[in-house]
Amino acid sequence: MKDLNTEAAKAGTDELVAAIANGENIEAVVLAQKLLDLGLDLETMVEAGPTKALESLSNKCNNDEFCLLEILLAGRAMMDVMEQVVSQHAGFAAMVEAQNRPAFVLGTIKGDMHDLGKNVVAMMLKLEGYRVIDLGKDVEPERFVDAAVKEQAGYIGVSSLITTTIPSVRKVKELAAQAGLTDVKVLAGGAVLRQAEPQQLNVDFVAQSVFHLLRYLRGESEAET
Amino acid sequence: MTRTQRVYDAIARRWTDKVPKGEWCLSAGLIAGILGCQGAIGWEQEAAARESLGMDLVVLGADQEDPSELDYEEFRRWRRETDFFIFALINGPFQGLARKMGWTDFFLMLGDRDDRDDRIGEMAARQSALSLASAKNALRNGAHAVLIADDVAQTEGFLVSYPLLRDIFVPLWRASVQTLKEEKVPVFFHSDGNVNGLLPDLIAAGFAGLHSLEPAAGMDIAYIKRQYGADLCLMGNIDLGFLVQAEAEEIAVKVKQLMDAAAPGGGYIFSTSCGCLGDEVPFANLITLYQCAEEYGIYPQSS
Ligand code: B12
Repeated sequence: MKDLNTEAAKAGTDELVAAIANGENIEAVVLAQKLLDLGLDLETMVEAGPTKALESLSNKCNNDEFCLLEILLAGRAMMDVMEQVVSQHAGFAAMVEAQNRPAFVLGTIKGDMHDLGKNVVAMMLKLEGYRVIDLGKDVEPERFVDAAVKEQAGYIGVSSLITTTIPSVRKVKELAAQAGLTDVKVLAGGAVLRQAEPQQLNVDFVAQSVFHLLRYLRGESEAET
Repeated sequence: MTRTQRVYDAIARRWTDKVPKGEWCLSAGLIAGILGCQGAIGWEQEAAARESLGMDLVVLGADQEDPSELDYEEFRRWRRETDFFIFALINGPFQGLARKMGWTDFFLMLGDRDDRDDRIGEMAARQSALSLASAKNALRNGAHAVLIADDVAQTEGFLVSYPLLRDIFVPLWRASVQTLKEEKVPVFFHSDGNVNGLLPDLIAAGFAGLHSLEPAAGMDIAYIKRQYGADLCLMGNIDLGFLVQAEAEEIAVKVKQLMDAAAPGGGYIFSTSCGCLGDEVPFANLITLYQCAEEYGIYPQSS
């Protein structure tokens, strides 16, 4: 069985999506493994399970209703499926290679200790297959750029929840340009930054939420292919 | 009129000469800027800076893992040497546990709670009892009131679902307020973010006042005053993001609007919505802010 055209596979993936959305991590791992044991191929399982669950979460949390706890719980369930089932599978290396996602340097800017939102972003990016270089919090603008050079990153993500950090945020793209990283996109987010326009922060994109970021990245990778 | 009396009057909605004012903490850099001084910043400098801004209150941290270990001399000194109104600040069970466990682990444990496993509820109750003991010690050492700080919300609303707050945290807040009421002191609640959906619960729990009222998170003080002003003394509503970048004229307009909305009939304490002001706040802006609050916060003699 390679595809979803069997009753068992359909029912199984529906159950998996529901388990992830409800944050039932132990059940989700069992269900994902069962689908692979039934013969479903890895990529189809990931598409119909974790990816679909992420989309339904994105629709739900898109409106004014924000659901941090649901995101964290569903994120943990997806993470467990990825770590305990997907990355153990023989086809995993080939799938990652096919996705060919660039490294993503992420951190909370200097002067700010808030990291809850940044951690949610890190988790979701990992689930999307990005190699996340998480620099933590209170990070100097220079360190974002150094890490991007070292890791040959495609993106730098800057998080901030405090107004007074904006001058430091503005520096990141400037320093990146000085280091010759003209192709690296600088993205920003967090409660205070998202009220600003990209030009005000001197960045390429300001995300309203983690799902807004994921939609932007999908648009980017489609544009490339 | 003493500063303490002014704050008591505001809380009780009695006539007073002007709207009382004050912040939680001021950084050393800010104090130096306000006083135009260099060198070490200690208690005297902080008291002088608060006085020169026209503040009426201080907020002193009272939390301690082991309440017997905290030396409450700071409380005694403010009480002995000034007439400032003293709030004892304690963490509420939500923020207290989140800080101890790490926010993400705390949330995940809340999400895993069910009928069979309420460890998180028990931990929250223990955390609440610990902070309550600290608050009582602070009261014995000179505090006039208690401020329970529990950040349960962000800009869009609650950080966790309302039923979790209602089932675990509201009862703990209510129990703390009831216990502290036996000491005959007002108890205030603080949370950042949009807590509109909690206001009826906070009032039912017996809180005398509410701090933060973060305007950027949809806390409309004019509306809240109309709806709940008879039950809650409001405190805060000046946004930090605004304060750091505003021009003097903009500050004046904002303070006038705020006073027009919140001051009539008493029940308002002027403050920023974030609590702690750091070196990043231009001290000239803070001075302007407090001058405007002094000017626009006067109550007419006859009212
Ligand atoms: C929780 C919290 C704290 C916790 C932080 C815990 C932690 N480990 O992060 C504690 C209690 C420690 C704290 C401390 C302080 N805080 Co605080 N805090 C908050 C609070 C209540 C919620 C923030 C939050 O975590 N939201 C949930 C997350 C998930 O949302 P988010 O970060 O926006 O992230 C989402 C998106 O924005 C996006 N995103 C986030 N980062 C990124 C990055 C990229 C690249 C992208 C693309 C997307 C993205 O993805 C996330 C999911 O969608 C806010 C109130 C508010 N209105 O937001 C105040 C708030 C942010 N804090 C504030 C302040 C001032 C402070 C303090 C300085 C002192 C104080 N409270 O008085 C200290 C900070 C010390 C320091 N130097 O950093 C102010 C900032 C005001 C301003 N305009 O500058 C706020 C707004 C509160 C207020 N009353 O004004 N705080």
